[in-house]
Amino acid sequence: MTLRLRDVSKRFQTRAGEVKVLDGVSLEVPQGRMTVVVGPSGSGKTTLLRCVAGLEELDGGSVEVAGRDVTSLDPGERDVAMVFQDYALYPHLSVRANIAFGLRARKVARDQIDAKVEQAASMVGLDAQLDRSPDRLSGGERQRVALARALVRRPAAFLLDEPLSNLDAELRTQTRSQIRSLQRSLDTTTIYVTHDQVEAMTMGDSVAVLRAGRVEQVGPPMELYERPSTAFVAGFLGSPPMNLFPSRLLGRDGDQLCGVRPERVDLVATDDARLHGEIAAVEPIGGEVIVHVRVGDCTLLVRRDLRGVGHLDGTVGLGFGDDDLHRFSASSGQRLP
Amino acid sequence: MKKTGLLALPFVVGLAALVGLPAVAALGLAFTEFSGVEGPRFTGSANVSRLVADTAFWRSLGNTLIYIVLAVPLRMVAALGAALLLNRRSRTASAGRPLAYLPTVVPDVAYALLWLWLLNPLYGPLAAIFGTADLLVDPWGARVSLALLSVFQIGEAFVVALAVRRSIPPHLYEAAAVDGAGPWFALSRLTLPLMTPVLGLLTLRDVILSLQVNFVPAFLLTDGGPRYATTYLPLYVYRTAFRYFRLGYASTIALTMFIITAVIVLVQYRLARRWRLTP
Repeated sequence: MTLRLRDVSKRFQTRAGEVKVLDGVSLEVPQGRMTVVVGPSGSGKTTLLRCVAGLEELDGGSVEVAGRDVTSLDPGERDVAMVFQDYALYPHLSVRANIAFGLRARKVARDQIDAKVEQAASMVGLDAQLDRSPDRLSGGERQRVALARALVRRPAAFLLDEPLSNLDAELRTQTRSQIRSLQRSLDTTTIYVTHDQVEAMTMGDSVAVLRAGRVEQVGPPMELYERPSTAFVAGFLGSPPMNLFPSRLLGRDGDQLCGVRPERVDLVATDDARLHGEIAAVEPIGGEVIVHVRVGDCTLLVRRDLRGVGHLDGTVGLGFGDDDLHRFSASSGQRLP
Repeated sequence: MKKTGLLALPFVVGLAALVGLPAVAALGLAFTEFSGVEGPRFTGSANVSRLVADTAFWRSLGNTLIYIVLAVPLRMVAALGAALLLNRRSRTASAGRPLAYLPTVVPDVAYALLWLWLLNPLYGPLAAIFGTADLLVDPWGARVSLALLSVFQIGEAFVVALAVRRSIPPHLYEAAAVDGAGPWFALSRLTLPLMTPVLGLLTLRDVILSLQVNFVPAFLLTDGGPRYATTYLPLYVYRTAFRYFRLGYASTIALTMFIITAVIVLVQYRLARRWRLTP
């Protein structure tokens, strides 16, 4: 059941005037696939999800779920389920009643509700917590209740709005793989919104990078990483992000930005170097080290294995291959051939 | 700390002089015969025995309970309904909110006189429109009228209900909408259960209030009639004390009213402990 957005636009009226939050967003999530929408704060990710759910009225474009135009339908008629950032659990209801809420609203027979709720709870490992109140659950358990509430109806599409943002790092990693395997086993079309690029890279079959209400690039995660179509995508994905610097540092003319991933940069002898710079800072991050090198008026980052790096000080040379070098137009930000 | 205490001093002095002392005096007077002319004479439990046998007291208590049964549900439904209707962020709702509160700030006497004119059987507009000239002449007509006119003075309950409704996070309604809940399902399964703890407290507060607030309309509109149908406990206490000058016996009735109120407060306290105050 494919989910298709065509030229979706959304404007908000503020005191300062009209703000275009989504500007002609088109996106297609094929049956059973997960597309991760990623972008900085204010890029329109959550608004996009709310438009698909029917919580926001579109100013233009259309939304299709499983071949059905749902643009003018109420949220409950769209056959989608949404997991909210703060879970939106009903505080006065038990876990069981929370999961059953949507089925009750749809007047499903009581015996079917019980069976479906128990099945959904068992899928997310909440069998023992069914009769507890949400306020007695941990953050991870609440998150799983929200998931169970979404999957109990077996909707055509899941919409997940930063579902891991309230979890600690360890639980986040654990839940990330749990969500991914659940989504695969249920074969449900999913849009997953996050600002965390690690989630984007690890979870999505495809990633859509959103910037100021426009899709910058959509594609498989590694394609976006290896061949970013704009300087923004290059700078957004990767930790630390791609080094972007004017081409004049390499002695080239033209209105260009050059980019190279920090892990593709070598610290080399100054004679063999493509760039020379002064070490500004050294940050050990476990097994690796991030070296800040000041080159002209830019700071470039180098990510290397801690063991291969000796004492760092003074002037260093930076080396990288032509294949590792990305070029973008400095004015439009578009990738250059 | 010392300064804070000083700031509270005028209130504490006023409270002690105007409420505390009369209350203590009433407790003492409840076991005396006192006309206000001669000094009080201790009579032990004679006033209590008289109270038990006093048909006028039981009739007043019955009238008060009828008033509570009629007025409290109407007032609570009105407060809740107004809060739900005027919760929306629209110009109409913004204009409606002060209007819903407005009758509450009208002084009780002015409010009662206004209704006296509205319900006047000879030249009142309601009688002219609906032809209900005998509304205040019929016992049940008078009881229902006094309950109905109290429905417009729901300001505090309305404000509290509105605040509670607004404290329910909007994303719960969004989650319910995506779950397929219609307006009625959301109201019955989400809004009302989440508001119930505070609505319960508001109801109990309104019951306590209804034991007292009916004095002015009963005094000015119906004078307790027709055929004692609107002689409520506060009016009966007033008449016993200041028309028949049986201040000792009036204190016994007031003490009984206090005990009834205390029982209701106890129930309120138990409920508050059982339910969380916030949804």
